Amino acid sequence: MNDHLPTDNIDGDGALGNFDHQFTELEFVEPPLDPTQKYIWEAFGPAEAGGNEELYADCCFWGVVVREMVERGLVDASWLAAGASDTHDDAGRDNIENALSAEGEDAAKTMDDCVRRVLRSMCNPRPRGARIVFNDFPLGKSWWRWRWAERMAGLLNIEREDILEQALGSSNYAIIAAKMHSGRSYLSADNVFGGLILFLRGPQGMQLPGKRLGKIIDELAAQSAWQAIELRAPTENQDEFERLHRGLPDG
Amino acid sequence: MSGTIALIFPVLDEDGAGFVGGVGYNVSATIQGLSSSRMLTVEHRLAGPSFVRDWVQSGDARFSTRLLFRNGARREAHPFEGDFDNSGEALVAAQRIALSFLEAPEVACSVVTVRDLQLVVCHPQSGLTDFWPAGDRIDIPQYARIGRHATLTFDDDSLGSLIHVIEEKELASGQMKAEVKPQAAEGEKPVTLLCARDIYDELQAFTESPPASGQEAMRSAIVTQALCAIYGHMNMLARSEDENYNEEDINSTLRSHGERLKAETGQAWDDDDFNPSLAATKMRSYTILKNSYVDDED
Repeated sequence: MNDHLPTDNIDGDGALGNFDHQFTELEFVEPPLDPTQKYIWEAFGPAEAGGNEELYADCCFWGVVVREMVERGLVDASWLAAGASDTHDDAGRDNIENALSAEGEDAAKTMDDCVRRVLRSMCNPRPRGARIVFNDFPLGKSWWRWRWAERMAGLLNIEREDILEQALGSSNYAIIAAKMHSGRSYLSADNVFGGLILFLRGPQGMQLPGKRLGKIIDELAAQSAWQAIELRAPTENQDEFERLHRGLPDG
Repeated sequence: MSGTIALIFPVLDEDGAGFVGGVGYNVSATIQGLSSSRMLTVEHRLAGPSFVRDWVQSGDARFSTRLLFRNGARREAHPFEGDFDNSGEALVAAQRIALSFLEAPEVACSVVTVRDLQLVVCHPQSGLTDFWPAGDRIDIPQYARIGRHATLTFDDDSLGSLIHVIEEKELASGQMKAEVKPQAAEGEKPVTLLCARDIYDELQAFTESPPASGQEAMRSAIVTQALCAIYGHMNMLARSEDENYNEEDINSTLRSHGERLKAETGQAWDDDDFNPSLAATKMRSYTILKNSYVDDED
């Protein structure tokens, strides 16, 4: 791992700092909002504008952090092979053993899946590119979920915890993060993202099935081409999200 | 006024399609500096008489710049708030934006209406072709992009994408050290230039445009020196017969710069007779200003 991990000159000891939380396997694969995500957020600190935020979007940074966690014994190396759908302890070790002993037609795919899980858990961009930090990698997802909540809390004067629970739950976060890194990044402009958060905290948004949220975001994308939605106030964008929601067919 | 509408109003772009000859919206952008506190300068230019220009002049429309920092999917909106110059043939507005991130942004500019408006087509004042009949009344909603420019990107082989400048406190004044990392991960800058404070400060003000003063020439020469170090390293690597050397593994920004070097100077760093100093000075020639001492006194 040491020979092949891109490090971008990042010092592992400094990157991890005094973070000493001893994870369980399930906690590492899918960190719960409280307390684990909170530990991660507090350990790496609220980002200053600019530099730090850029660092926390960097695969190299998180790769170094994971290596350092393994070296400090905070996580076990075998856990890197566990996926979000694994719900039992020792899942990573079982997955590795399955991959090594697989035979027949599925052997190559089983091995490929296992290797991809390891790469994702190390925040290595090979499986999905740099968006892995936001979309796939548990520590990165945790940090960014809190970062976005904090950014929007400052913009909208709403408590960060309210945003985390009401608007940026793990399912909403997954959809929003995927959209932001797939040609829908217009969503990340403060006024647009703020409008979406207001909408998701409102009575219509709180009951929203995930698929519908994705469709509403897509609908707004078309508007961005001819209308400067990024200059519209968050409350105006909230109205627009509500209008789009009402306009979409049920189902 | 909002909602989904078909594009039923004229939009001025750089080609000026739908508008008469001489009417257009052009934007240029440059980044100053190579370190963390860089400035983006965006110049909006509305040429020829048009309703778009009239509305910008009257305050009914304004220039706006959107930045996308792709790695973090971060977007920023920067509406123009300064004074514009309407004294020449074109209306010109220059925007200076402090960049919060090291990554070069994608820059998308537009002219946006600040309220609901109605355009009454009038030839030739509106600047439109006969496709839009005189006397037509066209409702244009608030926030409509009535002017739009293609997204500007900073090439991967630009020096800003290639070189990461950081201050190294242990270096004495006037010293710098280039570190080349050919197999840097994608998105990572393959060259780190460790600089003493004074050089670091100068490089913050560096621009890729040709030097116009003694001080700019000095900054440019520092970059030429850095290029020479990069080329020397790559030449040594390419000729080392190292079995692990594989061009495919070289960072794409560095590879792209190598291709640009070859295209612009005919010099390739894997050639046997490659000369790093000649290549560097062909790529970024020293600028000798005979009256530079006058500039320095200004």
